[in-house]
Amino acid sequence: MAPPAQTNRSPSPSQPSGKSEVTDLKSQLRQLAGSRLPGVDDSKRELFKKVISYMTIGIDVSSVFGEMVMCSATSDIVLKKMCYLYVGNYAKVNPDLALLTINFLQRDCKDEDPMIRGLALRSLSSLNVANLVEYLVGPLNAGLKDNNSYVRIVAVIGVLKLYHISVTTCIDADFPAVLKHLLLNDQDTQVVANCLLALQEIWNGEASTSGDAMKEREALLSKPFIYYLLNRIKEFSEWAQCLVLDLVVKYVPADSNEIFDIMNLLEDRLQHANGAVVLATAKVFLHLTLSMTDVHQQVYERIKAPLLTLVSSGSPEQSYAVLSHLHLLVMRAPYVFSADYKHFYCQYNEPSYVKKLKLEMLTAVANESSTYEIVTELCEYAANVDIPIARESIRAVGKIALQQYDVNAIVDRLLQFLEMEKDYVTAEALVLVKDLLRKYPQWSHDCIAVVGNISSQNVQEPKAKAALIWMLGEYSQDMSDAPYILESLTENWDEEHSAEVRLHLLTAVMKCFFKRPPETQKALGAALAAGLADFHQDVHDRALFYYRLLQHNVTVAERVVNPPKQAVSVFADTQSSEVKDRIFDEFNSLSVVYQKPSYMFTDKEHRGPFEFSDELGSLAIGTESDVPAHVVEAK
Amino acid sequence: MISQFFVLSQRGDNIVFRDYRGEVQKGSAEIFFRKVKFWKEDGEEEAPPLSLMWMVIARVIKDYLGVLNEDSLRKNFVLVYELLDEVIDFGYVQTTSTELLKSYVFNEPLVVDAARLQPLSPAAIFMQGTKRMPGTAVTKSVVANEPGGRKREEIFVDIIEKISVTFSSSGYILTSEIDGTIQMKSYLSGNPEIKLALNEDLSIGRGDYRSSFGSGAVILDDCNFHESVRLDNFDLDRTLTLVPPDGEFPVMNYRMTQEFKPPFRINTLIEEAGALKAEVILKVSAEFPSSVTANTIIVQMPLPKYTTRVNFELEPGALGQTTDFKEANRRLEWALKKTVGGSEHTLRAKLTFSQELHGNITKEAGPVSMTFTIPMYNASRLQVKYLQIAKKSSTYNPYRWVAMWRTSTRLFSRSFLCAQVPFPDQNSTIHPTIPTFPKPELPPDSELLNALKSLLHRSPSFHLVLMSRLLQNPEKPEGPKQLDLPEPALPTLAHEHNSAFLSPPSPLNQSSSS
Repeated sequence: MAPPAQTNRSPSPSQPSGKSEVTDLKSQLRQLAGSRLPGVDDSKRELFKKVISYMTIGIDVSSVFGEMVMCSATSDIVLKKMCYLYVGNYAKVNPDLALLTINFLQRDCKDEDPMIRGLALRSLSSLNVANLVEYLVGPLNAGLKDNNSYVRIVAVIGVLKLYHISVTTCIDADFPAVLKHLLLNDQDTQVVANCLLALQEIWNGEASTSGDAMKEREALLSKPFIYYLLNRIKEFSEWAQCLVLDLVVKYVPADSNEIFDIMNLLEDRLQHANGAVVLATAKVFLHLTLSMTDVHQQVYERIKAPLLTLVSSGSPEQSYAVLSHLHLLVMRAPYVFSADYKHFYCQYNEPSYVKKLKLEMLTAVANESSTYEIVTELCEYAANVDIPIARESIRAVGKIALQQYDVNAIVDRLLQFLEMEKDYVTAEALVLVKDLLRKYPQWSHDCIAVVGNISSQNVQEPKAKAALIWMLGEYSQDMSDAPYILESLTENWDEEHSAEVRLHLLTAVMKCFFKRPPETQKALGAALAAGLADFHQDVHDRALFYYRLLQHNVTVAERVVNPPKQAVSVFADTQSSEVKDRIFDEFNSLSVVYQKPSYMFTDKEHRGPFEFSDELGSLAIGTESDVPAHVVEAK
Repeated sequence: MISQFFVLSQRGDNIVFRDYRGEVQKGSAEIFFRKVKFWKEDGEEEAPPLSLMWMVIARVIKDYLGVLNEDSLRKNFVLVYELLDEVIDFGYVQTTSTELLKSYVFNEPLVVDAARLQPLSPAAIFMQGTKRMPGTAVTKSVVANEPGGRKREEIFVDIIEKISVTFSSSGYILTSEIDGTIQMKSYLSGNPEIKLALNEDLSIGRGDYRSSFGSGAVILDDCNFHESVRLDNFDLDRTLTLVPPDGEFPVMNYRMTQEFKPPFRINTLIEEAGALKAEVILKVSAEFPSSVTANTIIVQMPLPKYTTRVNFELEPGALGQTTDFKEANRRLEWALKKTVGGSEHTLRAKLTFSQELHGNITKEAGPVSMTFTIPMYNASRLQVKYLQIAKKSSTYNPYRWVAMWRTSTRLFSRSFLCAQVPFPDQNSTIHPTIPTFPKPELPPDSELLNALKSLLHRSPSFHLVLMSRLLQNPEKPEGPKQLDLPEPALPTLAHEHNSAFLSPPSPLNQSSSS
C-alpha cells in the first residue's frame, strides 16, 4: 500500500485552499467511478482519505460531491463509512446534491447486514436537510422495529435528529409513542437509554406548547418508572447509568424510607472506576438528603473517600474536575473535611490551577487544631519559586487569620513575610496586614512597628501601595515619620499612575492632617492642589469634596473623613450564597469547574465582553463530559 | 452532551474534527485554541483542563492505534472518525467499550512506532510507518493480528504505584501517600473469566488501622473497581472475578495513607562559604533490599536565582551518574542510572553567586525532589497472589488444557517514588511532593535498539518491550512449562518482598469456574 499522502504534507489552515488539488481529486474520482478493475477499492480508499483529510483541515471539497456519490456504489464497508461521513458533512450546504444520496442510502437501509442498515440509517438521519425528511420517516419506522439492537439504537437517535430537523414530521409520525413503547419494553439497555434521552429532549421541547408532553415528561419521574430503571441500573452501560442517575436526581421520594432504599441500592456505584458514575451518584445522594440535615452530613462523609480516590487516580483532567467538586463540597461543609487537610497540601509539580483550588480548600478547612500546621505549610509555599502560588499562599494565610483562629501565631508569620524582602511577598503581606488591622485593631502596635520599616519606594504594586498609604493615614499618630512619607509621596503625585493609590493618598493625608496638623499642612495643600488638577474624575471630585468640606468646617470634615471606626466582623463574601446554591444544584456539571452557575456562561447577557467567546453560547449543559474541545499534547 | 469533538495540533490545525449537532458556530476550534494558547498574558499559569470525555476517547483510540500521538492520529484519522461515529451519536455517548466497538469498526490501524522494531531489512525501511504489524505488548493495538494471522494469547497485569513522601529536615516523614492502580491489558480471545487474588490480609477503610498496624496487614483507605469486576468473593477471600474486556483498563484503583517505609532517604546540607559561595551536599540512601534495583533516578533542586556557576564533585569511582546545572531555570540535576538496594550516594555541589547573599539561603533554594522507578517493588505490599484464567469450556477435553497452558501470562509490579526533602531549616518542615508517571510511550527507535542490546537496565516500559520480544521467540517449549516463563523473562527477578508469581490453575479450579 502506498504511504498515505497526508504524512508527507503538513496541513495547516493557513495554507492556500488547494484548488488545484481538489480539481485533481475530482478527475481521479471520476475515472474510478465506473471502473470495475480489481484493486479499484484500494485506490478509492486512498482518494476518499485525501478528500476527508482536506475536509478536516477546512478546505472546501464540496465540489466533488457528485463524484463521491458516484463512487459510493461499493460493497466495501470502509469506503461506505468514509462516503457517509463526507455526505453528512456537506449535505446541508448542498441540498440538491443530497437528493442524489437518498437512493443508495435507502437501499442500504434494507441491506441484509444489520451493520450496513444501521450505518445507512444514521447517515440518512444526519443529512439535516428539511426537504428530505419525507424519505426518512419510512426507514426510521422500519429501523425502530428492526430485530437487531444496533439498528434500533441508531433509529432512536435518528428520531431525535428528525425532531430537530422538523418537529411536525416527528410528532405527526407518532414517533414519541413508539419510543415510549421501546423505553418500557426493549430488551437492550442501550436502546432504552437512547429512548430516555430522546424522549427527554423531545418532551422538554414540546412541554411549553402541549399539555400532553408536560404530562409525559412528569411520567418519566413517576415512582414505577424510576424504580424500573433503578432495578436495572447495573445492566446499563456506564454512560447510560449516568443518564439514569441524572433522572433520579429529579425524582422526589415520598418518604425517608424510600430515600434510604434508593441510597442503599446505589451505594456500590460509588466504587465505580468511572468518575462520571461516581459523581452522578454523589449528586443523587446529596440531593435526596437535602432536607435531612444529619443524613446529609453522613453523605458527605460517605462520598469523601471515593472522591479523594478519584482525584489521586487517573488523568489530570479527571483529577481537576473531581477536585473542583470536592472544592465545592469543602466550601459548603468545611468541618467534614477538617481532618483531611493533608490531602489538600500542594505538590511541588502540580499545575497552578490545581494548587489554587487546594489553597482555597486548605483555607476553608483550617480549624483550631489544624491551623498551626496548615499555616506552616502555607508559609513554605510563600517561599516558592512559583510566584502566583506564593502570592495565593500569603493570601490564604491572611484569610485564615481573618477566620480568627489563633491569630497570635499567624500575625507573627505575616510580619515575617514583610521581612522576607521579596517584592511580591511584601506587597501581598501589606494588603493582608491592612485587612487584619481592620478586623483586629488591637494588633496595630506590633504591625505598625514592622510596617514603619518598609520603605515606600520598595512597594510598587498599586494594591500594596494603597494598603501602605491607608495604614500611614490611619495610624499616623503611631508612626513618627508618617507625615513626611506622605509628603514625599505627594511630591511624586504625577508619577503615580494608579488612581486607586492617588485616592488613598488624598484620604490618608486628610486623616494625618487631623491628627498632626502642623506637620501635615504643607502636604495637605500640595495633595489638594494636585488632586484638583488631576485628570481622573474620581480623584478630582474627591479632592474638591475634601477642599469644600475643609472650607465649611474642619471638625465636621474630621467627623466625615476620620470617624471612630468599628472593627469589621465579617468581610463581605465575593459570591452570594444564592449563587453558591445555584452551583450546588448544578453539581456534576461544568458550573462547578467554572465556579459559576450555568446561566452566567450560557446566557449572552451575563457574559462579560472578554469572558467567553461565542463558541459557548449554544452549548447545552449536562454532565461534565460536555466539553467539545480537546487538545492533544503532541510531543 | 457533546456538540463537537476536535483534536488540534500544537499549531492549532485540526487533526480530527467532528461536529455532532451542528449547533455551534464556525471557528470554535480556533477560538478554543486561542483560549488555551493565550490563557494568561504573562504565561505564568496554564489553562486548566476542561474535559473528562477526552481521556475516555483517548483511551479507546489508544486501544486501537497502540500508540497515541500526533503521528499515529494523523495516519489513522479515518479510523478515528469511524470510532468517533460509534462512540458518540448526536452528542450522546453510546459506548466506550473497546470490546463492543470492535464489531462495528472496520478500518485497520496503521501502527506507527511498532513497525520500527522489525529487523531492519532493506525492505523494512521502505515499509516503515505503514506496515501493519502487532508491535509490542503495551503498544499493541487490540485489533492487530500476528503476521501469521494467529492472535497471541496474553494478558498483562501491572501494579503501578505512585508514592508521595514528604520528609522534614530531620528525616521525619510528614506526609506519605500511595496511589496505586492494578492495570490490566488483555489480548485473550474468547473472553475467559479471570480470577485475581489479592493479599488475604487486605482491608479497606481506615476504621481500625491504628490497632492493626504492625501486623503487616495492608490497609487501603479506599478503592474503586472497574465495571467488569465482580466482588462476590471479595469479602471472603479477597479475590476479584472478572471477564476482562479487550483493551487497557484499570481493574482497581486504590489509595493508601498507612505508614510504609519509603525506599529512599535524602539528606541535604547547605553551607554558606563566604559571601559569594555556598556548598550543597546531597546524600541519597536506598533503603530497600539489595536484590532490587532502582532505575533512572533523578534528583532535582532549584538553586538561588543569582547562581552563576556550579562545580560538582561526585564520590570517587561513581559510575553512571551525571550532573547538570540547568542555567535557564536555575536547577541542579543529578541523574543516577541505577542503584542497588542498601547503597548510598553523595553529591557535593559548590555554588558561586553573582551577588552577595542576603537573607536566608535556604529560603532561596530547594526543595529537593526525586523521581525514580523501581521494578518489582511495591511499597504498599499489595500483591496479586495469583491469576487464574478459565476457558469457558468443558474440562473433559484434554486439548483445552493445551490451549490454556499456552496462555502466556505476565505479572508486573513497579513503583514510582517521588520524594522531596526540604533544607535543614528549622522552620521549613513540610514540603510538597512530586508524583510523576513516565509516559508509557515508546522511546525513539535508536534507543529501543540499544535497549534490546543491553537488555536490562532500563525503565519498566523497556521491560515490557523486551518481554514481548521474548514472547515472540518461536523456540519456546510449548506445554505446561510455559507458565514458568515469566521468571526468566523478567530481568529483575521476583523475590519474596514482592512475590508476584503465577500459580497454574489446577484442574479443580478449572472445572469449577467453567
